Amino acid sequence: MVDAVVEWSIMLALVLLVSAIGIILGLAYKGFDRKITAMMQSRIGPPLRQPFRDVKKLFMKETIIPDSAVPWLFNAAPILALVASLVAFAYLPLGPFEPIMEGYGDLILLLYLLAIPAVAMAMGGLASGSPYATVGAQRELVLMISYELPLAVAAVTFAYNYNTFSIAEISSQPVWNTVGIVGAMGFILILAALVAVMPGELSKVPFDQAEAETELAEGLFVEYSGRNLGIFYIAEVVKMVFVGALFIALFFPYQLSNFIGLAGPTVPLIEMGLWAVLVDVAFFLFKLLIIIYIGVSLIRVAFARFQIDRANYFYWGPMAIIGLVGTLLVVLENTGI
Amino acid sequence: MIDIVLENWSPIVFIVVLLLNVLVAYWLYSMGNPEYKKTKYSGDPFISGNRSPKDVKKLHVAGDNLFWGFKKALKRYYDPLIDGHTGRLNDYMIWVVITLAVVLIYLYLVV
Repeated sequence: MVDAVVEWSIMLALVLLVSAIGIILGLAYKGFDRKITAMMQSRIGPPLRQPFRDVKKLFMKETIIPDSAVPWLFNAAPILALVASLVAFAYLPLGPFEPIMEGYGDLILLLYLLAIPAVAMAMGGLASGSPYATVGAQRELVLMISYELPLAVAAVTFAYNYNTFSIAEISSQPVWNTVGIVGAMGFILILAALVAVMPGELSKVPFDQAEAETELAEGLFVEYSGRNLGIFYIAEVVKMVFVGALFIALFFPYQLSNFIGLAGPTVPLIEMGLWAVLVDVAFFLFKLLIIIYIGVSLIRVAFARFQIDRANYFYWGPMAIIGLVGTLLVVLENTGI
Repeated sequence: MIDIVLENWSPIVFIVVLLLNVLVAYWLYSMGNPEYKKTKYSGDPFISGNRSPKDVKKLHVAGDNLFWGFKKALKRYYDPLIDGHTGRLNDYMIWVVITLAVVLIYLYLVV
């Protein structure tokens, strides 16, 4: 009984710690994203700590609830979005650390948790009673059902390859070591499809139709202000880091300490030296930086916003086909045809 | 045969962690400023600077209009489906025969 209480206490304390890390990392990477985007557009850009200031400012501002809104739903939406993003974080391996909730949830759960912030955003938009927000909510839902197809194809391919949906088992061995050349080509196609899914998941250009400042005046968020908008802001940045960490877990779960001889390839975390852990954490943060740079900043600068029907075609057409061809290659290799 | 392990699930742990994070999110939320100055227009929803109607509930988009956005955005998906629904019994029977053929071929190959 005492052991169980201690175990639960440690787990919940770690969940709190990971939630705090998720928020801080999210805001820090958001600063990086804004800075690097500005530099690519020949602007100076805001300082790296600007997102922290933005949140502070939003929390000080008035929180206006329009008369046309359904207040409880309008206020609950940002909290729901943040909660889903934070819970998802606890199921992911972070650098050398195993998922806190290892054994209590899998990739299917993560996919559902990934969908909840988008649903919460649409819910909040519809609850605000604004025509702009309503159009934004429609677009958000259309976008969600569009990118879910290549995402589901990727999840099924991983489950097929590893015979499990467990994220810890999938990330325990890099996918590239489990397949031959044909299978690797398949997973490269899956990776390409998922890179295209990333801006859609995060509502970034070219898939920011739900917000679309120039058309819908922030769409979903048009009526949001103050602490409600601040919570949505935090939820968005946490989700960004979560998606990046999921990429690392699926495709690049490498640890640098193994390569430079600080730790053996099968040494458990408890036996690793402090330097090995620090090196692996730093390497994880670097990988996250690269993934956010490619999946968010670079794509955002390089492309213009799609029309919503073209965004749907993009995911259900080319990206779904690329994903399915990738799956086919993996299946072909595994069946030995 | 695909044999995927699906044993990694604990709804109770999930709910506990969910509730914990609800507390975290609510604590953050409660740190914000909950108030705003009530003025004549402060509760008006934004409609590009136009004056909102006296009954703001009229601004709510009705259900059938709401669905218009989906139909428009998913046009490429809906159009072939609508074309397939001709209302002729013969066409529907052809669909049944085709589906049956696919199922039988699958059963023949797999079972």
